[in-house]
Amino acid sequence: MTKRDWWMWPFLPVMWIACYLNFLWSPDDAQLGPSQRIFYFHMGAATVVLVAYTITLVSSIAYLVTRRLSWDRWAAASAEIGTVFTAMVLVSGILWGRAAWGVWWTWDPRLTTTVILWVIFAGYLLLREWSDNPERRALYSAVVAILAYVDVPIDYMAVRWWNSIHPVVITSQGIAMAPRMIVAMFVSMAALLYLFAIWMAIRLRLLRAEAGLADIKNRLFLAMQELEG
Amino acid sequence: MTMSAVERMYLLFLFLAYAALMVVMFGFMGRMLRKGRDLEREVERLQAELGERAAPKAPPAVTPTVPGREVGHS
Repeated sequence: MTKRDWWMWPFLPVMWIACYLNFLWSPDDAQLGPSQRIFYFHMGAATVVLVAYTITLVSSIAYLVTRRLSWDRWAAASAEIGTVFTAMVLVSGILWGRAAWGVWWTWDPRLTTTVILWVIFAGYLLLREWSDNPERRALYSAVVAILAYVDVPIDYMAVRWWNSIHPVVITSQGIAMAPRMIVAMFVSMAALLYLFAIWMAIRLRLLRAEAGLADIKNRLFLAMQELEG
Repeated sequence: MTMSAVERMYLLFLFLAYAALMVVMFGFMGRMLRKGRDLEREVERLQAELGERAAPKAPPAVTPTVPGREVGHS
């Protein structure tokens, strides 16, 4: 880690504080007991998913408008991390559901739309591997990302539009939780968003280096062709 | 639903396990950030070097690198 990465240094204390609040400081749920604590990272991961896919959407639109490949790299990095966090949401949700509902999985609207979201963005990542032409890949990916994002608001509203057994935490009347639980939830959200930001920096650097290497390969290829010709 | 003292202790262990995991993750991410920056710098250096070398597009017969009379000059 260099001095230019100073912004990463508070990560450790922030994560420790989030873990302390989640595991030790927040109270047990009256009905679920300690299994309620899964919720804090579940909610935090879900927030990251929303932010990540929104960045993918905005970057994809920006690419279509400007045709600058740096926007495509932002979209790809964000979608990759968003897909990992969606898997985290699903796994933590499955564990929580087993404790709360007594079943590992049910085809509830929220669960179903979340798994669809995960599959769509996994497909988006597969599509990116199809073409070696950066411009063509960026164009197709941008269109698919915009179409895929349609499921994000549907996923968010699923518990409000249809009969769902998934709890609704944030309602128009406020947040239906004890004050300490609310603090733990928001700190977890902040900590996981911080993790997302660091991960984005890592991925963007690698993608920039990858693009640079592709450029070098192209130039060398052209130079060799010139020599042979 | 209240927890027993043993269950509370389990939560403490869980907290300690996660705290240790975060240290590992922090170290890994710090290393990745540094390596990513080094890699990016190396690629930029290679691009710059390649750019300098690839600059003279015309064959040496037309634009000789050694100072002298140009082709066709009487």
